[in-house]
Amino acid sequence: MQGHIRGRLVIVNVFLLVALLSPANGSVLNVSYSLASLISAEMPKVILQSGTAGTSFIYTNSTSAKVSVSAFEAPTYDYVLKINNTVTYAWKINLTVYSSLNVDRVSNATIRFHDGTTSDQIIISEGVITQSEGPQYDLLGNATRYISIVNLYASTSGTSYLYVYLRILVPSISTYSLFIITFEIT
Amino acid sequence: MNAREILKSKALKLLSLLLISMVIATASASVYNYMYMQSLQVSVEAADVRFVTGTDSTAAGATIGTNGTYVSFNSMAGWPNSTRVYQDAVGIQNFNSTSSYTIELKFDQAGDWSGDTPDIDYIYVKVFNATNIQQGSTITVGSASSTTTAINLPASTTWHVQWEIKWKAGTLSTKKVSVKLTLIVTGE
Repeated sequence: MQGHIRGRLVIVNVFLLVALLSPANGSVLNVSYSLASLISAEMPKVILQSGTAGTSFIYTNSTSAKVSVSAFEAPTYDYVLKINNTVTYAWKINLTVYSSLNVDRVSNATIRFHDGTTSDQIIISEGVITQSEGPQYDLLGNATRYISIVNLYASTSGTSYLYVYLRILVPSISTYSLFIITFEIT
Repeated sequence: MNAREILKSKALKLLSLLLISMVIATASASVYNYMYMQSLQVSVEAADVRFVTGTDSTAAGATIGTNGTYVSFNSMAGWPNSTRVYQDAVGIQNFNSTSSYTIELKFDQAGDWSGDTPDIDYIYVKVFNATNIQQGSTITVGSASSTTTAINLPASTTWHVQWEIKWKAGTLSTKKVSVKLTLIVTGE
């Protein structure tokens, strides 16, 4: 009888021991936390505005736009959009193509910034995007920069699209905002 | 045997039964086996993997806590209908010169963010190495258990954490959200 009880106690002890040791058989974890608090929405400090050439549509909040031009009507569209800095401090800006459609019909096109000086941002040559990202260009405090399209030709009829990011970079660091601009070329 | 003796005998029997039942009850409720687990010299040691400041930490309002095991961001923001990128919001550095560690950054559960979450189009968090190659998967904030997956942080290496924030078009500038991510370091 006593042996029977002792046997049961041994089983219970083994069970408890296994239960206690189980966590130790797992991984040694060290947990720390990264807490991001107060991610806020704020009024855009840089905005897009319609141009005087081609057709432009500015979307809600003035942070994205669509531009339509025709390669068979004129080789130059100056300007299709304005970039307006509403604050006193400066930014760096540039354009980057992130997608495109039916570009091979576009013989030539150059999309550039200008305001006195010019900066070629995107270049299409013989149906190929030969420059998909432009150099950084200064957008000074309370200043306006213009986007124009020059040297625009197409070999055949149709519609081509360039989907472009306007990157607005805080100088000296790597924080930036991205606006989407769609160029529709007929 | 008279009545008094009978009563006395019954009382004694009852008393003895009572005592026996108490003994049984006590014995059945008090079988203990004491086991001891003793930990000697539980020491404090510096974490090998710590948060460190990155290029965009100031812009993000990053404050790294004592011992580098905690970081808070207090001035992240974004413009509606555009994507704000903090490319190097904070670094994760392995200070051990010989051992690598497995790390995992994750958005654990739905309760780990709060505020005006319906106004968020997306918040993505990514980890990159020094040559800007993404390590592991993209974390989608708001999606429970969204994680970088377990990734191996080599010895004496710093990776950077990138935040991408997009508020929906028309979002008012009074809107805010809070987000908590968990960094799990295995094997330290």
